[in-house]
Amino acid sequence: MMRLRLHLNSLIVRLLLACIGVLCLLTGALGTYFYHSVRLAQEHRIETVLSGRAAYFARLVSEMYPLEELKERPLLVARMLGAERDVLAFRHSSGDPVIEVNPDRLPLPPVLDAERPLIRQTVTTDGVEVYWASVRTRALTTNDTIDVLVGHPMSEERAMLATFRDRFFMATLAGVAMAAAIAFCLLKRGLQPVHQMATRAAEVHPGQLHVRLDVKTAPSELRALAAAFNAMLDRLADGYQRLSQFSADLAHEIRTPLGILIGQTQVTLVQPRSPEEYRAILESNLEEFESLNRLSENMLFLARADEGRQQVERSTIDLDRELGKILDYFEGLALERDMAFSLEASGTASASADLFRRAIGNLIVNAIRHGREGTTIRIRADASEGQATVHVINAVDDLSSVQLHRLFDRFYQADQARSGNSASHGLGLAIVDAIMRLHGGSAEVSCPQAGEIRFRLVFPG
Amino acid sequence: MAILIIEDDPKTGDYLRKGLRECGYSVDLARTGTDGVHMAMQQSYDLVVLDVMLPGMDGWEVIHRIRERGDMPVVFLSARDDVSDRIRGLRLGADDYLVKPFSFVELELRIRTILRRGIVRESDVFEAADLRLDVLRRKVTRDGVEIALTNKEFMLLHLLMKRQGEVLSRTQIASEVWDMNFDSDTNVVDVAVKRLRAKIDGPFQQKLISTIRSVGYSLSA
Repeated sequence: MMRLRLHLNSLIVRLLLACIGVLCLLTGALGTYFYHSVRLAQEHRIETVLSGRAAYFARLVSEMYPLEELKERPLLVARMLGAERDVLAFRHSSGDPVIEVNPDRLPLPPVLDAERPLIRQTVTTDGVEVYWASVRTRALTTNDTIDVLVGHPMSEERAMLATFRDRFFMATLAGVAMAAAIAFCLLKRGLQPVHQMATRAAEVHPGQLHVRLDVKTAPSELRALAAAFNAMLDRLADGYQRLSQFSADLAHEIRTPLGILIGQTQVTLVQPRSPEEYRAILESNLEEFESLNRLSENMLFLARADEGRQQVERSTIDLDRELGKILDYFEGLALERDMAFSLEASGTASASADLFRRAIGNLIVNAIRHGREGTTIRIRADASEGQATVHVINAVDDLSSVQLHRLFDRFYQADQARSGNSASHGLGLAIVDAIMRLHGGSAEVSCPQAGEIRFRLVFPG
Repeated sequence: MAILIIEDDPKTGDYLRKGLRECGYSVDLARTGTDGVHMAMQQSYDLVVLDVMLPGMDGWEVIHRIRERGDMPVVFLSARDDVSDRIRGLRLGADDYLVKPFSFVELELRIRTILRRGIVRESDVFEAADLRLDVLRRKVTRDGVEIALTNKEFMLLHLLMKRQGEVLSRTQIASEVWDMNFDSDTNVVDVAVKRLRAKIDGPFQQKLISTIRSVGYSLSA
């Protein structure tokens, strides 16, 4: 059973089965058609022959020979009949046969009452069909009413048909088998490119993501598949590259504070110190631990967002009120860099309040940290057609070193010099991106004009 | 004040017991849920610190049994911060819920909040040394001289004076003053306290606001 299912899964087997099915159906239909044509032709011919023969004998008995004479020369009649198994009978209208040539002793049909030659069929007990024609006439000299009855058993014709049918059947079988064999070879050859693709695809593994299928030489039907496969490999390679970069960055982010902790502790333990010194070291260590803790929490958040396990409990957020509250919170921080906020917001957004705050908060912190000192950070928000858009726009000194499309990448820090003491480890914008993905929305960054950077968050309704 | 800790991890249990004892509580430690329930039946505690993930009888079962006994406040500790877990914990009657790894200071502050719940001083006028805060008239004076504060600065000072002598964590301050519950990586609170300090303590000899490093801030005369 398993094997059969396995075979049915093969493309070649399926196509072959379909081919054979179609062939059988077609030849079967053709055979049936020809069989019936031949059969009809035979019947038609016999009917013509029989009615002609009946008319001939009727004339013979009514115009040429008196019945008595014919009776005495049955051989003549038989010879005139020609055929070996055919039946000829002259009957009185009462049903008594006058002359009967009937080599197979076939039962005669009952008397008919008609002027024209009438054809009818009977079937013997052996299953042989017999065709009959009869003509009523008046005998020469005696002027008696005579029925001329001629019959023809169809045994020979049927035998011929049977032979024809059998031969046709055999020929069909042979033909189908041959066609199937040829089709198999052709299919096998035709599907060769699929095997080649499979062999090529088998070469792909994590260390070897550069392998690509040859789209140009692929047959047109497989070109789309090959192209899609290549595109998939491109995405995987890109994702894989990011992932390995991510792991490397993560290791680096962890290694730095660990190095400090280990080194600091080792130095401390070399000689006895005052309680104040121990206290200072412990406090410094605590700061590093807290930083590591934040890192792990952010990593966990991102991992959960990637898995899609994080649930988003949406509520309706009044954009003006909520953004006002967030800006209130960060006002002091902005003042430190002599920056101010300008807010224009209306409408509502459907989002998780916590995540909304976190996303906006990260953008604001980003703007305060990297914006130009003494400028205004503009926040614009509106809602239309069910989706809410939030813009955060701020002035920056120099964007030349920033790769905009990489800003949302984890651990990407455009400002390398300041990355050392960045509290968010370069994960802030990655978290914004993750939050937007959780909401089914999007986070984009653009540079509308020189010296200005604009973040755009879209929350779908 | 007697506290029962039910925690299976040896190191966590030990440092919790040590830390809370040093804070002046009398502390018992149970390593399994069964022991914990047994101890809670024998003696009445003012508060139970309970780890959710326990071998054998888990935290959910333990809180159920303890609730049958009486109305001891329970603080949940959990390594999982699924929202559903948090809701389940609070529904089962946990008075607070902390996700591991949590800061000990945060735990201590929350325990103190629970034990002192309801006795937070509400008053119209607060005083510390020569500093005076009038809630109704929104007026702050020190040594008789009026000090102009922004709205948030006033709220921050109000909080610190209301909880005079208590250490407040940055998270607590952010949540009470700005209604912001998210754990921010920023030093917003530090910046705000710095500004407030410049106005309140700056020109004066006696400094009222003190920083407890890595923990938070407190105001005391």
